[in-house]
Amino acid sequence: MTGYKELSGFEILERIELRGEDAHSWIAIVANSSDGAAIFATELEAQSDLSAAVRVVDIEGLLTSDIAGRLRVPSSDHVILVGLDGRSKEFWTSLDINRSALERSGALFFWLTPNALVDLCRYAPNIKSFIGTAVFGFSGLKGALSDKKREERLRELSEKFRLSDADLIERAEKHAIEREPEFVEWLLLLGRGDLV
Amino acid sequence: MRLSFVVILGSAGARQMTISQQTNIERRKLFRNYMKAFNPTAPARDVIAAGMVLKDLRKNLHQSLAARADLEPGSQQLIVGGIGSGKTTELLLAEETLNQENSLSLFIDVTAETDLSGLNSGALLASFGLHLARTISDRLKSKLSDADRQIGQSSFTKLKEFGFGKTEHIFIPDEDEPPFDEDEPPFDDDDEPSGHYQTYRVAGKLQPPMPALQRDIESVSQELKSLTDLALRFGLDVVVFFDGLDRLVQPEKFWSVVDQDFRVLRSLRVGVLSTAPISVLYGAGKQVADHFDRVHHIAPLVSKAGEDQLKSVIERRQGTALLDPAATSILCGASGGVLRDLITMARDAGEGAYIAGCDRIEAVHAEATVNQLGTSYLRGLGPKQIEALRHLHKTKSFDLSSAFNAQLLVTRRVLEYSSTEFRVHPALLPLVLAGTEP
Amino acid sequence: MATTSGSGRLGVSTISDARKLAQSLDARLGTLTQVVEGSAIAFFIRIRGYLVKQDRRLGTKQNLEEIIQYDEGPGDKFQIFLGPLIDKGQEESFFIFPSGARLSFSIALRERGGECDVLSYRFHFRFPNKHSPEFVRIDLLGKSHSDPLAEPFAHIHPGSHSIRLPCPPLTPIEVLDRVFFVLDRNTR
Repeated sequence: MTGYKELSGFEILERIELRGEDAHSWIAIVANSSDGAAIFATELEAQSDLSAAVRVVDIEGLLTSDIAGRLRVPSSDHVILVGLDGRSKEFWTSLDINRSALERSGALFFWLTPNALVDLCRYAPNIKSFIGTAVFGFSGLKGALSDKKREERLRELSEKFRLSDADLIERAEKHAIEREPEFVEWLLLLGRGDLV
Repeated sequence: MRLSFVVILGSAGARQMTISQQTNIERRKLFRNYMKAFNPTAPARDVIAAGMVLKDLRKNLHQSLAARADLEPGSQQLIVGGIGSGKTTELLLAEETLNQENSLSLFIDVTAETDLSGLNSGALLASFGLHLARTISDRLKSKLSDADRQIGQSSFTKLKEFGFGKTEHIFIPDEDEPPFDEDEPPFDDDDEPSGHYQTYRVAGKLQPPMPALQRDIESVSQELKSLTDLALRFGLDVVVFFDGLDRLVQPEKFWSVVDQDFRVLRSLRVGVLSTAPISVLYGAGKQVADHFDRVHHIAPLVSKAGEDQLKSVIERRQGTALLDPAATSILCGASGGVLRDLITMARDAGEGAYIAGCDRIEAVHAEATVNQLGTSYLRGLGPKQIEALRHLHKTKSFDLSSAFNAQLLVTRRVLEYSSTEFRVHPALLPLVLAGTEP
Repeated sequence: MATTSGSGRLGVSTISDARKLAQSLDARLGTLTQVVEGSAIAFFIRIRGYLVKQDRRLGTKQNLEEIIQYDEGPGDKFQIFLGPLIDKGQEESFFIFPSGARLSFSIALRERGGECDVLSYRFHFRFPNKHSPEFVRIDLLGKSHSDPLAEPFAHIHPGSHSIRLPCPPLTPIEVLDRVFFVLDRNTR
């Protein structure tokens, strides 16, 4: 049982964006690695109505006072903290005691593995209180074209131009088709980007 | 929900909105305003300034804090409570209420200024001294004589060294020639001593841990006395408000930080109001009442009166514009009287209702957020802790001399309804009883 | 007297002259082809973010996470889609405007280091019923057409599939700006 919703970045941001500017939000994002943090940062920047920039801050090797320093300047942008996995009890206790030093008007995202989330809940009650119920599992970026949709588009192209996939490829190889957007799309859907 | 229409008639190309569009935009605006009002991490100062705080929620505690500070210069008061109980808010209200005519007040969030985890004796004094010097300079600028200014500057410099350390250059003489060497010509006073200078960095109190030295604190007391005497000459009693010390959840840590420093402040007749963790009330060791003139406990708001007060908190923030009465009741009950939990759940329920496309926050949204809060408290608990919680629920007995149990209290899995009555947080209880795995 | 096309002397252009001029225009337009910063995935996120903000501004509530899709092709190719290939009538997969207008598009990119070349695109904006023209379509070809007079490298269809008028090769965001702030009557 994880006890938190698995959401895409898009869905998480739909919720966060509602809070508005200078919301001093603290949010925990749970993922098995920090690979998705950059994608999430891009989504945050793209989807937000607010003009704040977004930073990913890796706290590997940083002291608590260093972390606070990195969050203070600037304090209005959104920060995603990574590198919180495998931290000691003493680290979490120290971070917790110094919670005030982490406070800022821009959003603060704690990017955590499931184990790191448990450690935070165990050793950092003040931080946990600030995060509250804002714990979301990151299910990654949605929107990849499904095989079914791909087949549908290929079928429509074939019907519209009264050509089979093979005919198209043959003509493209002979440079016998114009590079109209539909043909470019068709060739790419067939995995023949070499002909574009 | 009220609908309002905006239809601008005009020539072709003029902007027109459908009812549906306007509804969506209005709805978003309503929910956004609601989210702003129910922000559990908003700075307490901003929440007070926005008029969202019920000042009589704690029976005007802040007035009594300010009155004592005003009438008894040098008194020391603690505000003790669990995480999210509203201690900082009461402290700020007390500062606001304090008679500024007769007092020079300083509000210091030590945790925002220095790493408290390494904090030991002297750091509070260093922080206090620096703030005091700056405040005196700002407030009494036009009234200070040159001599006063010199005293202030000298004290500030020494306090800065005490706080942030200093660099010393020390002469190290050569020791090549052993004494009493018959070949060594006799020493002439005119000779230049041979040796070299070495630079040493002496760390200050506001840095990673250094051993506390009693003589350090005694010496800095003199500097502080110069400044407090200066303030007194102008008829001003110094009162310091310390926030952030409640983060030192382990009582021994709290005492190691405050013990000597607060004694010095008392000797200087500086009034002190400070937050403190709930653990100092129940932890083994020092009796907190012996060391402070007054200890104010901010307990969770329970009982019928408490629930009405919680509803007032929601009304004050205009939450009833979106919250159904049933949802309000559920949230108030499940918060256990912990203010931050109430605000968090109210916000979360609002988020859920908005995403679901609803125009009101209903019981179903409240129940979902209660479950999430409970889960957040369940997370990180081991089997023994869960068993202890079940035992508490069943027997109503809770041994606070056990550090194990004290930790449950500090982390708000257990709430103190009175000095003898403890209960499992109501949002957590169903999950503990149901045997839900963390 | 025969004159060279474009020499400044007024005269009747032959279709051959027109084709030559069109080729020259195509070549000039080709040099303006835009590059977008960042990876293709980042661009997909930005396009989607743009539409999210428009959705909010318009007060519509579209399921944008479902209707905007991407396809990571082999190698360095990438596509972004909104809506179906062929407009067969009102469907949930379009971006629907409050006026009843609808938008669909497809964009093809090639990733190159930390940026992307825009290979081609097709933006189809269908006006509400009974509007004239019925639609506007903005295309960017993958390569110059053999007859750039009939089909310029970057062109607009003003409501007719067989009429294509040249336009500068806009970036996808620039096209969307024209859709949301020029073509859609809610905001004109």
